[in-house]
Amino acid sequence: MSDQAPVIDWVHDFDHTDPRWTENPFPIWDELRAKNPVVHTERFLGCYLPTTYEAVKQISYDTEHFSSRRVVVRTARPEPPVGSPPITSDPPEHKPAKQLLLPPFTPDAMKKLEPRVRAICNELIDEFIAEGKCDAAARYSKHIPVRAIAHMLGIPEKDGELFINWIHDILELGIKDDRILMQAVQEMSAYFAGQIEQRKKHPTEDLISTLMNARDKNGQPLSDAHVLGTLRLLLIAGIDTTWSAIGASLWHLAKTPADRKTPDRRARAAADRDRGILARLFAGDDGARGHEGDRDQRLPGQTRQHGAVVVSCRQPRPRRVSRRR
Amino acid sequence: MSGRLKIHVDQEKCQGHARCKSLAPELFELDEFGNAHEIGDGTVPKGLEDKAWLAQTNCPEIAIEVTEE
Repeated sequence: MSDQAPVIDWVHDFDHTDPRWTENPFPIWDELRAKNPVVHTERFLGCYLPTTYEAVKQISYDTEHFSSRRVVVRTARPEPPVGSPPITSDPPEHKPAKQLLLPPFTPDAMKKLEPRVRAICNELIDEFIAEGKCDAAARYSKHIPVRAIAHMLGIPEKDGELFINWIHDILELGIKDDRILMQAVQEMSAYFAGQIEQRKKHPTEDLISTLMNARDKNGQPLSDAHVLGTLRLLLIAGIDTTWSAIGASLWHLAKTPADRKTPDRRARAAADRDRGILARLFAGDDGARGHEGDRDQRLPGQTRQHGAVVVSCRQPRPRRVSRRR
Repeated sequence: MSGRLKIHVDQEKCQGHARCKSLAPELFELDEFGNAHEIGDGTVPKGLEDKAWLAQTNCPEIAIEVTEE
């Protein structure tokens, strides 16, 4: 259900929250790409969508003209935007803020987490295996990252329902209702502020303490606002992106029996096919991200308006060899 | 049809997603911080060309260059 008028003309009036778009955006993107490298809608206070690989690349790397300070396209643009570094950071702050988060998420670090995540998955499967079928999104995918990220952050896995509700409020209802958004952000911030205070008295060895003990490029501790913003990001991105990826992967496998056959990892051909599946599943994880224009900037095929938000979705790369200089 | 391929990870762009390492562990390695680098001088051994393309296509930061020598 939508409070917006239904889309009739995708090229001049697109709406990325329209159920037809969220169900299957690819034919719509094909149509838009055939018309223009950048399309515009008056919805969401006016926003643009690059439709080609080159246009996405141009906008993503033009950090002088396009900021990441506002990454979700909404029907309101509160000032100042709520910061969640590093996703809302621009150069030169972005790289150091991102580097702080890399070590706990390397493949080796993930291997150490694997026993707990396997146990979580098995506990979830045990709850429905006797029934022989289940809604895999609602009873399986949804709960894995909630519990896994809680485990990493060192917060109670039983608080999972709180996290699910905040994410629903922030990323779904909050797109069109600023009051719901701010309420959820405030509740989440208060929750994490409490966790930080506890660790000041009783240090732990979890990801929250890692952030509290981190130093910026000048050797100074991160501000409480930076730690809080990053924790909000870790909870939201760690959960929302991942339950979408797991759910989309299971949906793909359910619909594609050929990819469901167990690959024999000892056989090279099978391993290659396995990686092919992995690549397709990665593609399902490439979501949309907003950028906000700082000044008048000419976009391909458009006359740029100041301050309008641009939505970037990953677009296919034309396969070709770059020439050596 | 084509010469030998060479890969390079732009360190300014790499943000450590490590998809290249997952898809083509023969061609990429991670440093202690989690950033990806091409193994050796980046020359792609014969038979692994498809993996080089797969890694490039899947890099969310558009950080992998593939060149033909």
